[in-house]
Amino acid sequence: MGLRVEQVTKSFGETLALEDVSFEVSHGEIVAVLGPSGCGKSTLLAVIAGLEIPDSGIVYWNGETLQGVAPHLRGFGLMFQDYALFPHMNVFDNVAFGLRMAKMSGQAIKTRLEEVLDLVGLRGFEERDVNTLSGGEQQRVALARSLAPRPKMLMLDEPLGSLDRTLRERLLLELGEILRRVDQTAIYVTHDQEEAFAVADRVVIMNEGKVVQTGTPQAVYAQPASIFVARFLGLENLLPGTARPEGGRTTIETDLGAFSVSGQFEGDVTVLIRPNSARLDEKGKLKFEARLLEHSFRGTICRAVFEVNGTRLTFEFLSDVDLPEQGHTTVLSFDPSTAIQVLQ
Amino acid sequence: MTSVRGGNSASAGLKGRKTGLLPLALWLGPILFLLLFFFYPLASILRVSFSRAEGGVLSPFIEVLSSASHRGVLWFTIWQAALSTLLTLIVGLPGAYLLARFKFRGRSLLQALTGIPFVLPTLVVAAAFNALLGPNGWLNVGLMELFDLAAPPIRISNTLTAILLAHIFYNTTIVLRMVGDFWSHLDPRITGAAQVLGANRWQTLRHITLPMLMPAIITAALLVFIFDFTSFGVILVLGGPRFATLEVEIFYQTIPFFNLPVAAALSVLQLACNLAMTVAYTRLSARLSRPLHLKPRTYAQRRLIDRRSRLMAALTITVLLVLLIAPLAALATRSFMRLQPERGQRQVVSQGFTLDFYRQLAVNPRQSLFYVPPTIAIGNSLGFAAATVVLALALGLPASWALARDREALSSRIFDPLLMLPLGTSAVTLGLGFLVALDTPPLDLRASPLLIPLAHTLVAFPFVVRSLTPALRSIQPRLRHAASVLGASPRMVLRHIDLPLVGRALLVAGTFAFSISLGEFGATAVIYRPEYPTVPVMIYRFISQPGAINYGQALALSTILMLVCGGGMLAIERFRIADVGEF
Repeated sequence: MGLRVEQVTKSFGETLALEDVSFEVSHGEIVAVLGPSGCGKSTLLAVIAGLEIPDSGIVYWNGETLQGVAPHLRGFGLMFQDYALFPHMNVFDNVAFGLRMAKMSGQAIKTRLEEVLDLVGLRGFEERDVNTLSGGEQQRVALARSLAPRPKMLMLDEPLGSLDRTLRERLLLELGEILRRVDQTAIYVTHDQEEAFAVADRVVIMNEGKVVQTGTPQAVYAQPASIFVARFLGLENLLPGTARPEGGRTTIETDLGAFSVSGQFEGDVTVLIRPNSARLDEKGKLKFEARLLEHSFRGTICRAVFEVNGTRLTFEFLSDVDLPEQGHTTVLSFDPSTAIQVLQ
Repeated sequence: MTSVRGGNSASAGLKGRKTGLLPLALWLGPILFLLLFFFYPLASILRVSFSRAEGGVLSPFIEVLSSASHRGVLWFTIWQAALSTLLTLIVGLPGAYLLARFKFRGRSLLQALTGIPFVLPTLVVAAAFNALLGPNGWLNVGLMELFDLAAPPIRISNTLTAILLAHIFYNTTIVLRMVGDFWSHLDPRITGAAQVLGANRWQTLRHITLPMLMPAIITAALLVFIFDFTSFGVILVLGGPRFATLEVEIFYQTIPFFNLPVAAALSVLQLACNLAMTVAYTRLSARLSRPLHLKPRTYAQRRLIDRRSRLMAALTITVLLVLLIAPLAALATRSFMRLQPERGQRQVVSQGFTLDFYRQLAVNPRQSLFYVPPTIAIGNSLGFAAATVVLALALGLPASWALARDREALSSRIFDPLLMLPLGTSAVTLGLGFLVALDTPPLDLRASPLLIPLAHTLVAFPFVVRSLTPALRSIQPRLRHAASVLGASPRMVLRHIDLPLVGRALLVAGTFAFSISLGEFGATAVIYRPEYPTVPVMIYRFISQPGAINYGQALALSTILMLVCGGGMLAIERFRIADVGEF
């Protein structure tokens, strides 16, 4: 039970913003909707909130249709990209707005406000003018405002989109923690896979108005369903190949040579080589002579770009690994069974 | 070199208050203009007037305030303006919502059509209502014909209803424009946020939309109120002798009675009321205005899909069309129709279509030497209006710029209310002041063709500043900073960033100036020279003379003025849509 979106389609004039979108969110689950900008994520939230009416398809809550239910009667929360704080109200009035609409008594509003402002760390900000707050503070006010009426489900539209990187990383952890502490059912919309993976129980990946893959962050990262998903998740080692089934296995010819993988494939395929699968010794089943083109240090890991048989491949190693000097060659090996995935 | 200069001007922009000299330079022109052509003439006429009073400067005030009829005039002026403003808001706000939030076929045509009444001179508006509802208007003539009545059944002439209707007709556009424009740029997600938090349509309107619109509503209401408060032509023609606002009373006291001390005392009273309103307004709007995230209009507009919004749209459009277009249609058609016998020709009643009223316009009936054919008056009016546009924009732009840069600066706080003063000053008094003050070299302008444009500029100036300042203010400082960091000098920032962004506001302000000049009657009635009459002067002449031919000529001339003003308005509307982008 929870939210079920069934075959929702929505177009604006000529442009198709959502095409046959279906997915579910269970109680207490945080689902990230992940996709490049303009893929229809914000429209999806507007449809679920009731602010836009879909051309076709139905949104259900606990099995009951929300068709024809006005936005203010749905009991969902929506935190907008760049927050949409009411500019003519102070922090208190912004956060109390939903409670006042629910006709809560003055004392109850005060108590609840103390709770949520504590939760987001904004006690003492009650009288502040929202226009004078920093980006991070505005974001907290927006979060407090959408949490205050205890929404059945909270939708967050790029909640960290307009913040700088350091603040983003800190708030991301905090946000996830706050949502889990109150066991909040939530949809988290973002174009940033790191954010999605950090906060979500499950991700729904969208492209051009369609859902292209759903699953846990681990599963999606381990088994991207398409070239788009692989590229979007930052997996760059994609090579064209030709597949030929042989017995129970498949042999694939690529510029790197031929490998044998399990499963049945035929014809033109794309081979994904995982970036964390390579070793700088001869212990893997497949061995190559590789020339180091460039490398960059990224904290605990480092990223190195090699040229292997005229193909650029990027791999990640722990930072303490012994890389050859730039332009020099080394032996690189990996195991096809774990390192390779075939995308059709 | 460029980058160094860019860096400097960027930091200068951030700390605008410290640059000191620029705001003063911007204020120089407008203030000099106001001193020479507002305060000096006003002071002169007040001095001359009060010096005639027997019993000291205070005696005219005592006379005015102790007279029940003058107190009545003041009270009537206030409450009819308040009532008119309220009714105008009631009619205008649904229309503003419709134009701001919805896309539909004929939207821009509706917007252009509803813009026409505002640019019409008060005398034309009065004539239009007369043509629709007056004793010889369409409705009465039709009803008399239909039911064979001896007397007109609708007696709306010389009633309060006629005045209120004309005021609503006249000023609804202000609400549609000012509130609608602001509304169309409000971020719709803010109302979305309220809805998601549990507010229904009504609560969203009350708690979110209306408070956020307040600055625009108050600005619009203030303009409407001041217009109604100083209403002259409408009251003179539609109200008849029973109703007089301060302005009308000043006119009566000045022209027929030549009781200058009382006229001056009434002017001071009117000026004081206006100053109070202006100060209240500047305080209020400064407190209410918030940095709002303005969004492009297309982003905020949706189509009329559900039945409720369609019904609302149909109702609003009908009300607007009936109220705003019917009198104009009546005016135009009535000017081609002979419906009543000419004087002394009681037997020969040739009813029907006629072009006589238009033919008569170019004829000099009494072969009078001083007679100027109305066709010449049209040329005069257009020339004066063009000069007014140039003058008003040249003076209004620097003043608005200074106001937009820093409304908290001392200079802004002093000059802002001052700029609004000409609006509430009796135009009749001002006209007299011009005649009294500008008669000695080097400022002997009585015979100058510039005299009328100068007076019109004075009347148009507040409108120009009021429509330019918000647009200039809405340009985010970071755009200017971005430009100056990229190496643009302050002048280049003005040319490449400010001017293109303000282009639409300049057009709107220019239209204001143009139409105010075309329709201005109060000051013109006093200062015009018989050899250079303007169109409103001619209309008043025709309307105040008896006879069907004169009435017909007044309608014909009003129709021509309506076509010129309306045509200009439509052209600007088209140009605006085609070329000047939204924010």
